[in-house]
Amino acid sequence: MRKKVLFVSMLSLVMNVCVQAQNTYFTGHGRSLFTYDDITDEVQTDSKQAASSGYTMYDFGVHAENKGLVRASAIMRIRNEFGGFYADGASMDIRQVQIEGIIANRVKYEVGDMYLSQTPYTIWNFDESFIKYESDIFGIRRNIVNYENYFIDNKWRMQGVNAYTTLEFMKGIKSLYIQGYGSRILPSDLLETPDRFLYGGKLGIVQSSAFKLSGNVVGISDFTGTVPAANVDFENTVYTGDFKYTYDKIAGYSFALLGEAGFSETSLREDVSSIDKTKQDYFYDAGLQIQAHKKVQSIFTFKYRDVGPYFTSPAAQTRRIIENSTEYALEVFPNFSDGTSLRSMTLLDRMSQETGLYNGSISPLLLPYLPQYNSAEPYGKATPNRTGSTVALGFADSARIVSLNAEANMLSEIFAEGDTTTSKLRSFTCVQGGLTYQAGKQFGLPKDVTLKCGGKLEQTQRDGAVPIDLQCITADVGVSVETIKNLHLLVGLKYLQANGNEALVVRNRFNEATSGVTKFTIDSQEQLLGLGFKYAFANTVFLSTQYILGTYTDNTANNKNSFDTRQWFVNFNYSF
Amino acid sequence: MKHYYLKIFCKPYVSFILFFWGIGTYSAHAQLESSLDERDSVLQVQKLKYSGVRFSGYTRTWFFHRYLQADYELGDVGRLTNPRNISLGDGYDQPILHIQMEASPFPATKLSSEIAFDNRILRGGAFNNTVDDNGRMAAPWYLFNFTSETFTNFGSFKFTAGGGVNWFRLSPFTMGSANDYNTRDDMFERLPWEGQGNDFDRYMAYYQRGDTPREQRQGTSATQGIIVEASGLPGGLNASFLAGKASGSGGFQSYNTKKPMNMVGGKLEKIISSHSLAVNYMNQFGYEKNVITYTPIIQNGDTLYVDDLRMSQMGTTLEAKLQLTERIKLNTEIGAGSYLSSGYNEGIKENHKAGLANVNTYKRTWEELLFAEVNITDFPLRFQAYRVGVNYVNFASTVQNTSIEQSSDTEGQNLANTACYTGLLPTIGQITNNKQGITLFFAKKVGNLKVKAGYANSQELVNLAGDLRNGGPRAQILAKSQDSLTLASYTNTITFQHTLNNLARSRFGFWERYVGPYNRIHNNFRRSYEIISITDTVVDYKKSFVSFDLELKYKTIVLNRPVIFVNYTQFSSVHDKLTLLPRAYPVTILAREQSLPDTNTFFQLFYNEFTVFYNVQRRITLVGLFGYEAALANMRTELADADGNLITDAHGRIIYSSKGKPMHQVDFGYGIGLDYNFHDRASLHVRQRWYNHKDYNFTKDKFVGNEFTVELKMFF
Repeated sequence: MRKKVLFVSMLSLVMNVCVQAQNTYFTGHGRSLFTYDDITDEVQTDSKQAASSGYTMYDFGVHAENKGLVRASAIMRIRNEFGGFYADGASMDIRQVQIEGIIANRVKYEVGDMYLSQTPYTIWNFDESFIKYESDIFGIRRNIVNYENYFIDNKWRMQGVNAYTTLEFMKGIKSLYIQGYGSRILPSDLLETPDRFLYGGKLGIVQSSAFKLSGNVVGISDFTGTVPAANVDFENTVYTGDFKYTYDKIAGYSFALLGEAGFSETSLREDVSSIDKTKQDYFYDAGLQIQAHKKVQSIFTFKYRDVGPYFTSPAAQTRRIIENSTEYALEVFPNFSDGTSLRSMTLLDRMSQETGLYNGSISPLLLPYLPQYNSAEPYGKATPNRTGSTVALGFADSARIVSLNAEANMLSEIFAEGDTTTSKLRSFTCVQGGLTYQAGKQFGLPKDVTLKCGGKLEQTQRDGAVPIDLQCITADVGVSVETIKNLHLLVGLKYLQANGNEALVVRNRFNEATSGVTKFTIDSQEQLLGLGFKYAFANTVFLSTQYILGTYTDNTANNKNSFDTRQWFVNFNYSF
Repeated sequence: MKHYYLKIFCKPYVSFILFFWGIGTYSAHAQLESSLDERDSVLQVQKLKYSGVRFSGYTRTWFFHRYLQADYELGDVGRLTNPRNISLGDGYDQPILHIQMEASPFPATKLSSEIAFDNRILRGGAFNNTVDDNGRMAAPWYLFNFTSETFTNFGSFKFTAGGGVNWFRLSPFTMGSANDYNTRDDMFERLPWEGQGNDFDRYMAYYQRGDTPREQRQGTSATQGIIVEASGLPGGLNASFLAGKASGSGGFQSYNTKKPMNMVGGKLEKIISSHSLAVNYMNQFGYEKNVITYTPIIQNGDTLYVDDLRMSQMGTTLEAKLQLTERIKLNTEIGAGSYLSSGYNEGIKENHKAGLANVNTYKRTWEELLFAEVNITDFPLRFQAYRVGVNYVNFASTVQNTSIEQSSDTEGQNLANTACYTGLLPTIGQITNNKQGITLFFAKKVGNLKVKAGYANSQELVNLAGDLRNGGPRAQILAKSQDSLTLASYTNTITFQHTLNNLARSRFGFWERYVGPYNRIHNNFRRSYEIISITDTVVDYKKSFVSFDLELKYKTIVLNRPVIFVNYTQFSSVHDKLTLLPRAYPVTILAREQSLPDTNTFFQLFYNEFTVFYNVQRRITLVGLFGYEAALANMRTELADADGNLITDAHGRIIYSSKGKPMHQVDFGYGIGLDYNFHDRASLHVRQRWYNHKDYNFTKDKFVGNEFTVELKMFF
């Protein structure tokens, strides 16, 4: 009921503003998406499971703008489920409400739904996907997931107020950027759980094109006065400074020193878990970057980081994907055909499940993770208890026919988590990279032919009382070939192999490692083969059809967790 | 409390920010934030600032009051059978505000959507999952899709994706609508989809053309998914292809279970001069359940596994529209169709193999699909003939299913399976499975008198008496035991449609079957049917069905204003042998408690309707209705005892008794109303209808009541 009232109110508001506005216009993003899935498994071999699902939806944005000073926007979601006829299975909701404006031609502000990111150690919605070079056929699916979960680059979607301005100076410094924001990230239950706010700001100084310096601060506070008797009081503040000094006096080359450093202060009083503690810790991450601007552009980066075990920055450490099996719900075939055995999460789930698998809110807890997908940096760059170096290399020719990136992380723990006997530290080696090759351009073809491939090799090891040895290989290869105008044939292959063991850390409510561990053993392979096409009627209007074959093989002894999936996928996308 | 709110401002970094904010404000020489972000904050694409969205629609407030002097017992609470009912809306989800939205931001592309708002003043309708606790609703309506066209050297292609509902038609036997035949509504009743304009013009159109106004989408089938229509292909071919779901593909709520039931269809058409030839294909296939277990069968010592739960409704036809001579046109469709399930097949396919690696499937039973129509220009007769096999079921087609009750669920029959009409007495022009028949249409104008007549004669191909796959649901309600003899007594049936007060009847209980005082009522969308059993123990005949109707329309001037009189009469009967003319005993209404004297005529239906439309002033039309319906059966059908109870034996078998008396229903309906077109796009409609229904023998079957409706409709 509240939704409906809110909907009508906001519609009225927008309509009212429309009347006064100089300019009213519409935006929209819609899709018709249908899938047919089936799965066979080893649990019950005389059967299979099948499901047909999908929907048609449209996010219809109404925007009223008054002389470029203020813009009121509301996006309504209209949706009809596939298999729901005659308005059965139909719904209307509000996806976004936002007011933007400029005060005195100087300060820009936004109220309502907003998207925030700052630095990788303050506010950063890090991408959990383990491959940056994803083939186009799978990229179509991931774009939908990102859109449905409001993942835009590394921004977190929040509700609150954000204001910023950039001031230019005649002398001394070139410009000054000032930002302040506030958001409620947890509403009070009016009884014991208080409102939780996130707030902060940024002060950035551009001294010249050679030197930039910023100060960042992000705080999270429980406003305990918002409930009669708060049983929790969480406070966290992160202060960081980041800089970049560039030297480009040598023709064709530029050298830069860059980095970020800071510290966090965190306290938690939680009656349920009998915790009342405060902790501080720091981090630094700095290095050197060399760029060559010749016929080919190349970039080399070396950085060293040290992130303390107790460094806490929830807005940078919160995972966007939920990997704790008790907290996520797989949409398609959550169980094997016996109806009880739980199925493992797959690459296809991660790439295509729109709801129930991704996390949209900031969590003060370090969320559990599956090490086969990401062991070295499960909480992004800001993963606590990591020290070591990163080497990265990038390359692109002037015509952008080939672009390539590679990165190696050699990290280790600072504090031995999960091994209180011998205190041996884990070491992490992660090498990842990929390339895009525009073969059409290379051979002067009138049509677009693009190859994308990427991969990651990750190794986690430790000796001592709780030895660990885990290796994971992931790969993604994709080809897109334009046949007739605007019709692209798409092929893609994804592969994941994980073998070994881990001893996953058990943390308390204050994110401290306890003496206990959850032993984890894996020996599995997974592959996805996708075939399909995409036909573009306009830049943002296209039809894509795919057939995806998936195989999950669990080689662990006495395990019946292996299964095969097949999926037909049709998507008609319409945006303006 | 203030302490908690204000402590943020006590933090040093806040002071820091505020300080620099102030410095910046006073010392800056230029500002950069001079415009709003031109990129969409969610899509991250350049905003088009498109303002060309077009809106249209209507508001329709439909107030309804019903008073029933005698409660009609449908057997359960929650149905609209209480003495008084007051509501907005007729229960069929017609919105109070309907907005249609269209946008074409890019050339040759279009977004179309209907949004419906409703307020049911606390009364839920047949579907209420989108309705809040107070009866308010906002939801996308039927039309909700995206279209794009592309033009190539190979032809033009139009893509449609979405749903809502994508209305589409291939051919009568493959994909059309079971409402393709001339389903008739009396013009007294207001239909939700009636358009704008002067109402007397609507009555005049009815007088001139003879058809009841319908929605443009009627005659098509409801689909979801994707449709590709190609025209101007090499060789002068046109084609269409569609995939997704039809509303019969698992039901209109299959999203709840993600039921793996889908459809695929297509058409390839060649136009040669004034002729056209087309090949059509349609298949609805899949499973009713998500977990599909293969059934093991031991055969010659081997274990065969069978894909037992798979279902399919398939039809493939050749369609021809031939201009035989300058005046004679032949429309014909011939082909084959089948319904496949565990209960309807010809055994496991040949070349079957043992083991789970070789899952076997059933062999289809193919049925004939034949239709032909001859039209002769400037000649008042139109002739049709058809034959459709017993086991062809296709919910997306025009063929009404009269032979397979278990077509929506292989696991069992249920009350909600309202898509089967066993032993249906078809209306004129209606095509059903398990029948062959002919239809004649006649139309002639004599002065201001317009005459239309229709004649239909058909016979079932197989009498399904004793087919224990049918009849189960009613037996489950009425019979104590479910042995084969008991079930068999429910399998030789006649289903007929009530023509008078059918909309009022359908609202007594929505989308239900085997309800009512004798578990004979079958209601679906704005129609009401009744099912009766034949008690013959020896069945050596095929039921035949004969109907004749006559519509007389006369226009004249009374007190300088136009008036239209319409009289419509219909005779229909069901026999145990081919019969040329329908039996008609309207006189029997005078002899109460009498049954049909003809032992060869199981059932007869007589209906007469007289309506008047008087345009007393340019914007005001008065309307009047008088209707009468008599439904009589003979002693070979189910009977009532002296207390009005259905006669069954101790097992619950429906049996003959010499002391019993058959159905003898009489219905009256009469009403007055007013249409006031106070604006070109706005009108007010008032109707008062009285109705009276009773059965002299099945005495529990009765209702008396009246309905008062006020409709205010405005288009924009």
